[in-house]
Amino acid sequence: MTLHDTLLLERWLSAKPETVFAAWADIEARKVWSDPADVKTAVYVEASFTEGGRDLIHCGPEGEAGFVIDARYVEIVRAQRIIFVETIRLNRNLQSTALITVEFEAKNDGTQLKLTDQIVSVSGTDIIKGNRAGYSAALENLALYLSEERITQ
Amino acid sequence: MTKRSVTPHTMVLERTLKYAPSIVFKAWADPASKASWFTGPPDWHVEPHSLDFRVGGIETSAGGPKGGDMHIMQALYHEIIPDQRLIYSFTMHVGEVLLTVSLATLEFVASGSGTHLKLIEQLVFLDGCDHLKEREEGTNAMIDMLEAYLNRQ
Repeated sequence: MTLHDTLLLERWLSAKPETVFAAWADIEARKVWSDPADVKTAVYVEASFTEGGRDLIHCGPEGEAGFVIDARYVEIVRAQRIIFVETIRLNRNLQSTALITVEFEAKNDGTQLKLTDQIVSVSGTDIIKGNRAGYSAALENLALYLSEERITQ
Repeated sequence: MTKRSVTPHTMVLERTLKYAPSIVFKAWADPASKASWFTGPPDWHVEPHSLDFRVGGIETSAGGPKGGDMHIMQALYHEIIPDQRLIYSFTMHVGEVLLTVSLATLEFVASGSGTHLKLIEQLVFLDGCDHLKEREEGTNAMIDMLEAYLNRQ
């Protein structure tokens, strides 16, 4: 039994596309805003932000790190677009795979960010809800991160 | 500068074949079998097909009209459940240009003595490439080639 869904998330951010893109491209920056709040451990086994490269992240609640996230970068167009395919496995079993397209468009002195998450779940609806909640929270954190960056600069 | 655009779409294709799931699945799983039906139009120049059929494995198929740009399909396998299900993602390039990125779920369900084949393809058309109708026809033609191959066995 597989479930398919398309999630659309949009958010205006107060920084220019170059700056928003840099917050995705730079692994140290990305760690700050992308880690889900309820995840206590997230270990980057691999981090290669290049076309054909991947991020491999082991994560989960403290003491039970059983989730593995494998994100393969398909296309990276500086300050414009990132496309990646993200699989989530729990104890080696596939939970979901998602084709994720992130668009950066200059708008009102900032960036209109649009994230399209085309997901297939083989493990029920929770992982789809989790994807939506996770990326919504990440974009919220990204907005906060960018506004804090602005203050410190 | 290329005008960037993203058009997400979900394509569903269902076909009933008169062969058992194990036989239909083998036509996708076995590199020699797949190479014999997964090809372009008969008058195209074709590069050798390569298929590393395992989770994390890559498949490459390339060909094109004589004197024209190469059409290149490259796939990555995310899940393989023999005789039941495949999940894979793939890119389509013409020359150097990335046209589409897809996430495909292929289900093999026993139906009488045959197989009900269901393909759900979640994809993005990029930068004005929006040939949904042609893609649907192409995908149907692919299943026709599969069926013709099975009939020859």
